[in-house]
Amino acid sequence: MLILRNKKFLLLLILVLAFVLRSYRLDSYPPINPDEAAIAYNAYSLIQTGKDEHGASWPLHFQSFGDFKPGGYFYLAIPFIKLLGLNTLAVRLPNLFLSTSAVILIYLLVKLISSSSDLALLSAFVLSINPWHIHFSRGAWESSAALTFILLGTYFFYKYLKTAVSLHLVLFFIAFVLSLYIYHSARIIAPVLGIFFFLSNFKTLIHRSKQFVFPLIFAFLITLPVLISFVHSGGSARFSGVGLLADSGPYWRANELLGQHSPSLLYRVIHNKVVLYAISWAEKYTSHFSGSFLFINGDDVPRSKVPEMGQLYLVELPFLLLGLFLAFRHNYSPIFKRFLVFWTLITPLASSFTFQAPSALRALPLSISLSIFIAIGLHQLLNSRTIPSKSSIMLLFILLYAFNIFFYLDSYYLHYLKRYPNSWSQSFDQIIPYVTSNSREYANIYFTDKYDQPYILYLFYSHYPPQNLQPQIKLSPPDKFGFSTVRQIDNIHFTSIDWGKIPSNSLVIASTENVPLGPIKVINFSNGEPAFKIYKK
Amino acid sequence: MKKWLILLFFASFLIRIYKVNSYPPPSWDEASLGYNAYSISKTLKDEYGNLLPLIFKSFGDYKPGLYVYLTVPFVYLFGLSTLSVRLPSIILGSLLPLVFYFLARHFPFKKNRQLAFIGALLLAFNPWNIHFSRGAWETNVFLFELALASLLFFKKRYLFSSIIFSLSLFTYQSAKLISLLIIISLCFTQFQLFKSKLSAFLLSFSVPLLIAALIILVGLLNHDANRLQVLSLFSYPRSQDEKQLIINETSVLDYHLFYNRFIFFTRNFLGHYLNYFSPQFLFFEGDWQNARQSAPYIGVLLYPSIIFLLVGLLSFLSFGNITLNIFFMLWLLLSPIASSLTRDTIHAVRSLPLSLSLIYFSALGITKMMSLLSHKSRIRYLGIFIIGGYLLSFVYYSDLYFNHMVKKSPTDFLYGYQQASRFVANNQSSVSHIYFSDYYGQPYIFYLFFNRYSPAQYQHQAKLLSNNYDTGKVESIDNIRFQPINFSGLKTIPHTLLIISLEEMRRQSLFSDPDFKNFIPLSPIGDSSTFYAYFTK
Repeated sequence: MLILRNKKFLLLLILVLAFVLRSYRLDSYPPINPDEAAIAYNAYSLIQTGKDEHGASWPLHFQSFGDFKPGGYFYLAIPFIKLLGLNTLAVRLPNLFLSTSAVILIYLLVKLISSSSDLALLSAFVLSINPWHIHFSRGAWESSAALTFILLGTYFFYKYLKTAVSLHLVLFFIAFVLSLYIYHSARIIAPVLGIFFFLSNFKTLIHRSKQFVFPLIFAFLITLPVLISFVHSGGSARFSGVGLLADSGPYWRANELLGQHSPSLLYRVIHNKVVLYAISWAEKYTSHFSGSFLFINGDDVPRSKVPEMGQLYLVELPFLLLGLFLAFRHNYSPIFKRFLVFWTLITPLASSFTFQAPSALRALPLSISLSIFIAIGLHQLLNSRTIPSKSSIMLLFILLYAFNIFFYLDSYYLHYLKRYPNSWSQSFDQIIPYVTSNSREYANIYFTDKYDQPYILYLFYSHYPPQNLQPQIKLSPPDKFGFSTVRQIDNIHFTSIDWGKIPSNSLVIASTENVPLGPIKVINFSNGEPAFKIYKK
Repeated sequence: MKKWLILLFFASFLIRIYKVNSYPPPSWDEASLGYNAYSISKTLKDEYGNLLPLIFKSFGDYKPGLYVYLTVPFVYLFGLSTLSVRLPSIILGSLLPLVFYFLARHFPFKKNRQLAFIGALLLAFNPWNIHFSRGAWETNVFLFELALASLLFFKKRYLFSSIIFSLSLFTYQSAKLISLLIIISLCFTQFQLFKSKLSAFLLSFSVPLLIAALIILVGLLNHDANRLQVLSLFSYPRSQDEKQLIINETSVLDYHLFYNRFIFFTRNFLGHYLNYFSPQFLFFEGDWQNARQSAPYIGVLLYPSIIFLLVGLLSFLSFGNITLNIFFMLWLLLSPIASSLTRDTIHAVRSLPLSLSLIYFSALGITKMMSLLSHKSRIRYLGIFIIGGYLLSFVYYSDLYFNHMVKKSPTDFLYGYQQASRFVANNQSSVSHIYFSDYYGQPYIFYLFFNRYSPAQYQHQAKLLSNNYDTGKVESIDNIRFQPINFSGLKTIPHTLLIISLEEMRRQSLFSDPDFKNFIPLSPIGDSSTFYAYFTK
């Protein structure tokens, strides 16, 4: 048992646990989604032709579905795709490694600022089994990759605060700026966090102001490209599609309330749209802290949640509360307390400015400080000498924890895709080979657009040669969320299935649309419901 | 200070009594409480002719009787009116801030005077407490009793405390659980004090309670079980379809391991429980299940409390009097349990006792914030900021309450029963039959209430038709029948008055009926009317 007292060994165990939970069946479960496929295929296209699918050479923002994805993850994926080929695992590996590193980073960070290696180990453990973090570690999620860079930067910031070595300051800036290249939301979270880091340690840092000149200029210079590219690629257009104003609820509410009054200046002021949007923002922001989101139901988006679970384990609720109360009472350093407060308050900001909140995806960094609070609660239980019958209480919590973890794994691996069959692009791995092997026999192929972005999954699964794609690709006009798609590649049409309008000698890949004759083949979801019905006309 | 307190009482009283005779329109329960009090004051019997009952049969929901008896003197003095039914709740609701003041003052703490006054002020202006003080809500009287009994307990007046707790059992259904939990909390926090005089304490405190509990128990065995079953969370297990879905996804074993009844109910209970602490309920939407139980588009606390509540909660171990803090923390954690055990995901009525503890911690937060800033000038600025913030929120709330609440959902507020009942009474002698729609529920009680129908005359024709779940209904009084209105069927009966609800008008498309000009809108609000009258030929 002596070996269990060795902290390095324990950390290694935690890392192995984290890696196993994040990597098991990662090559096929869940099946690749359109955003991941877009990253993979564009990386593939760059390797083959030096240009992305739309013919832009080495862009910083990839046009993709008209949403201009930040390019960082695409470039991270290139070596893996070069090495392993165009497949699901390759595009997910960068995030697998980065998210596992997040567990090391939380250990280092907490150890650095709390000076308690026990607490650091517990934080690493809580993060390693955290369902919120695991979920977004399993897939090419830019959010999770960006989080690791933010954590890395944060670590170097506090290292710098302690050591006053300029190199650490430079590394802090590099890591934070890199996160801007990877994910939209990081562009709000990282700068605000950075500013608060400085302000909250102003008294220490003001004496070192000379050290800042070079790193600041350097940081500005490396930020410039992504800033320019963001403005040029219509970054603001993307925001109007998903931003706070895209939710028309407060607008209609203002009209409704004004309509119930006789007109007067006072009511024009208090039922102003600005007031109602401000209230709506506050509701969205605070919703990230609601019990329903954190412990009962989780996110609303099926791709970001598993059935009947919150973002955290229910058994962690008492520890989270205990941690919250103790964090501010305990003799932790003020630096640590301030870090926890700012991190918790700032990380839901990006998500609160979008139309859809709470969002587990955009507010993922929140999982870090919540994990630390839970760890503080656990730490207290382990260290307490006053609790009666401590060992039986501990046994009870260990059993409950284990039960929660098994519940999560059960929900994730056995129920998730069956309950939400549309959440990930299921069964495309079967339908695309069928299409490619039969495409020559028909004049036209009509492929349903009921599922998200079918064209990119076609490109991905068929390893379509990028050089043949670039001359013919054409994006449709954007929908109300600002997304476009590609309607035709060669003789394949990705459209809604309207049987009457389809010419003869066509192969039709439909979903559940109304078709007057029987299918020649049906491909099912994992829950047995039909995903694709194939017809001849 | 005394002057301030008197002033505060009058401020509370004014807020609670302003326009209360007509706004909001009385609910079924208020009409029933009022009419039964009227019946008692005239005949010493309830509407069914029972002599001075402790529990009133009413709609078959068997209301605890205290509120009726509190109303009797007001009905006797001022006659039967909406105001006189509401006066007990208004007066006790206005006294609650004072009780809170003395409760908080009782415990030694450097700033307890400030804390007590801030808390009392917040209570006077708090939406949740105002809402339920402006109506004959038993829960509001119950909250007053809880606060008063706790104060008496802390003042060591155990006998009086015990008597008030006993009365609470005759005030409100949920009291059976909540009072018990609060008594346990009181004993827990004060155990040191009466440990030595245990037998004397038990004698003075337990005897009255035991007697009351026995009486209640008898009532419980007679009538309550059925209604309890309708309301209970445990009467609503997972649907058979959902169960089958889970089994189909995996196996029966998996269902029994992870999705069994126990886990299902635990999760539902905790989900309801956490809802009471969600920002959505407290600050942004209020009771989202039932429009009648809060003002629209706003929560049950004022906006600035978001910050102060958080500060107050986080400093509960480090600031203020620890005994009082622990008592209110227990109150906070225990009081939503009763309402979480019901079928409703949220219920502002049953959870009202929670408000007192939320106000306490908000006040603690404000006191803490003010103590952090030592400079006098800064306190002044902060004070202005706090008062300004609360004042603006209160103005905003008042507008939503007075100008929008009933207009937004007139049918939820049963708007129009007064007009319709008076109209029926005025025309009763000129027609041979009257059919009064029961679409909004219990029309008979409004007819009795608004027309001050002679109780002696009603008692011998009172007949409640009970159904197996929830409440029953009364079908006729004199020549009036209360039933759903089928216009095409009933219009052929000569010399008849029909009172039709808005929803029936819509469903039977009577707005496009050729006869539409002969419908008399009885209670116009917005661009429609909740009741229409029609005379047949």
